[in-house]
Amino acid sequence: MVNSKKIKSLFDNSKLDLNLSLSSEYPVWFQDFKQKSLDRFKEHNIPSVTDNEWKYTKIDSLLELLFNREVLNRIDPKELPDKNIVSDKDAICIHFHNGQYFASSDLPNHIKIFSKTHDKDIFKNLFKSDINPQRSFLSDMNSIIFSDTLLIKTLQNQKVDTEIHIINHSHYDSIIAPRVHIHVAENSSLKIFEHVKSSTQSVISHLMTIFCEADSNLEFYKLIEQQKDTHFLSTQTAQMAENSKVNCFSWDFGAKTSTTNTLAELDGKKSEFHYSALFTPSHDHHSGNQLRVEHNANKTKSRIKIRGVLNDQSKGVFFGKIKVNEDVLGTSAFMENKNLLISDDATISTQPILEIYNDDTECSHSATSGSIDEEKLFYIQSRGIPEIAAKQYLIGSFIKELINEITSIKIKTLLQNNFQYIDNQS
Amino acid sequence: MSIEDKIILKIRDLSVSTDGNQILNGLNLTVKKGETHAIMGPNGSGKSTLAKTVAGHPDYLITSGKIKFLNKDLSSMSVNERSNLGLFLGFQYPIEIPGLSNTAFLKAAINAQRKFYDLEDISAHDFLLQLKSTADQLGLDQSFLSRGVNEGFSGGEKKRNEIMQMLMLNPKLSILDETDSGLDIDSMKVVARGVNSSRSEDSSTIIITHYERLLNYLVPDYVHVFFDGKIIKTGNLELANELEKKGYEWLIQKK
Repeated sequence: MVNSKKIKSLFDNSKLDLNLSLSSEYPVWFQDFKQKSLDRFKEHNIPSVTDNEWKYTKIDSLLELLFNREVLNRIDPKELPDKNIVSDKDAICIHFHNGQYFASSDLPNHIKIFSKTHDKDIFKNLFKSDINPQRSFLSDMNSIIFSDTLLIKTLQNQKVDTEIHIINHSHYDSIIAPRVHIHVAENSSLKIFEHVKSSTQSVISHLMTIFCEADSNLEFYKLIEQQKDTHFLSTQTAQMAENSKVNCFSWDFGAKTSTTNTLAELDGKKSEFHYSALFTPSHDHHSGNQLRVEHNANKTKSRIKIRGVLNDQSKGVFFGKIKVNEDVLGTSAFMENKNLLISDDATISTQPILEIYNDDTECSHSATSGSIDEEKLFYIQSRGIPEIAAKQYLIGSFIKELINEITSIKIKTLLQNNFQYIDNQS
Repeated sequence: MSIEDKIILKIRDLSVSTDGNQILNGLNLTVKKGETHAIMGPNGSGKSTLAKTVAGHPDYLITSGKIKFLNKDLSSMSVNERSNLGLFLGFQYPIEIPGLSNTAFLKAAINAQRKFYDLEDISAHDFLLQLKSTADQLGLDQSFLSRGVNEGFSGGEKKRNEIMQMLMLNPKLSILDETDSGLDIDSMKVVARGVNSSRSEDSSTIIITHYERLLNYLVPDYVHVFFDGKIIKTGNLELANELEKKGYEWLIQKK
């Protein structure tokens, strides 16, 4: 039987206390926004096993857990991460701790922060207009919980060379909700790196929206590094105008639950969306990627490459859907999911879907899953290299193609440090 | 030096099965330091099985008998330990590993060997010098070094690459499994020169081949004929020449 239970049914008996973020410290328009989000959130259905996207993720038990945690958007000075990492000469660094802004380099005009201590009114229009095109339970969930927000908005024709580093750090057995809005104005460009880290059993509801105006360019890198008992629910949307281009790379190390839900809408002709994601869960972690790409204009292009390396008893989920709408000509779309299971107990569910309503389309998809190639392993070992290192080389070789596409040397170095056997010579 | 010290490889009564099929049936073979042995024989006679068993391929199960390499029992040794001790297998079908460069792979292999002997990692300078001169010796273009291991290499290039690995690792015993198959005459000369340059009083070579041509360049001390998982005849280069003319039928019938 189809489960059409509404979130409301879980919510009314919960301990979730939203008073903190609805307090009088915030302007009336903000409280209105929160209230509307809450009303909408309660009306969403709880995703069930009949819902393809959520089939392999136990989202109902996660929601129950969520409603029995305390919302704690506050900074504990004792738990603050090392401030040294704030100073990076080559990048603008912005730190959030438990969902609250706490430190940054000097901020240029294109970066704004909404928090208790910052000017709130510049955000009035942002929250008034509908910035959540997806309007999923995930984005509404973030809206009811979040306290601080980061807005990165360029001017027209502004090419920003300095990378922006966002560090989202959490350190409590609580719910936190980081929120980032990116607006790349006409003929401008940005490079952003976001690092999401948690140290304890947090539930993190993460939201990011990207809006790219005509002829704009965004490079986005994301590293999701959670503690094993963290639950991480991320939703990200990209709306793209004519001739705009988004290049996105994300690496998820997995968590108790880690799931990233992405929607890309290619609304302007010749817009391009490139998305590469790597997930490497271990232990009993869950790592999921749900992705939808909608081709809504002529001559748009999407390239999706998802790679999973799964260890121990971990579980990976990929759901990807490319939709080419009627009346849309000259679409080029490619979606690939490859998985390497390095333990007998790891599992992967992969579901790439194409939904095409126009013949003038060049579109392909593929999905593969396999374990380490024994002949390759034997070959490497036969040259004197121990088994553990040989396996690492093969994993490195499996993810190399994605790493090669990263243009930021800083990010590349960071990844190479994490995976010592990624060979940087080929 | 005792006789035992002169022996590099000693195989006694070796029986091996793979996938439930018995391939080697009581094989005996002794290789001394400085010797070159050739192994010939019809398809399916167990030549490659011997090579893979000695190198420690997990699919090959020793059901009876013993293999001693440098007077050490190989059966309890991992694949990499065998290599570190000085054993080299030149693959019949070298494996492609995209994403791992030849250079990085060779450096890791050399350093693994050095670690085994408690030596420090090779310096970048020494490594590159050695790599460049070995590649030149084998007529391998520098661009091969930065490409993925065997990735997109032609058959001949893959075999030259095997010989390059052999020369860089400087093994005590090399087993070359059909290194000559798929090589044109010029490539074969290059490979033969490479193998000859590695020969010394202390190292030995086993060449598995179907043709006398490579053997004419290498001149083995012994030529063994495999059939049904064991050696049915041993001779010298003349035996290889005879086999080239007459095939294996006469030997098998005689048996």
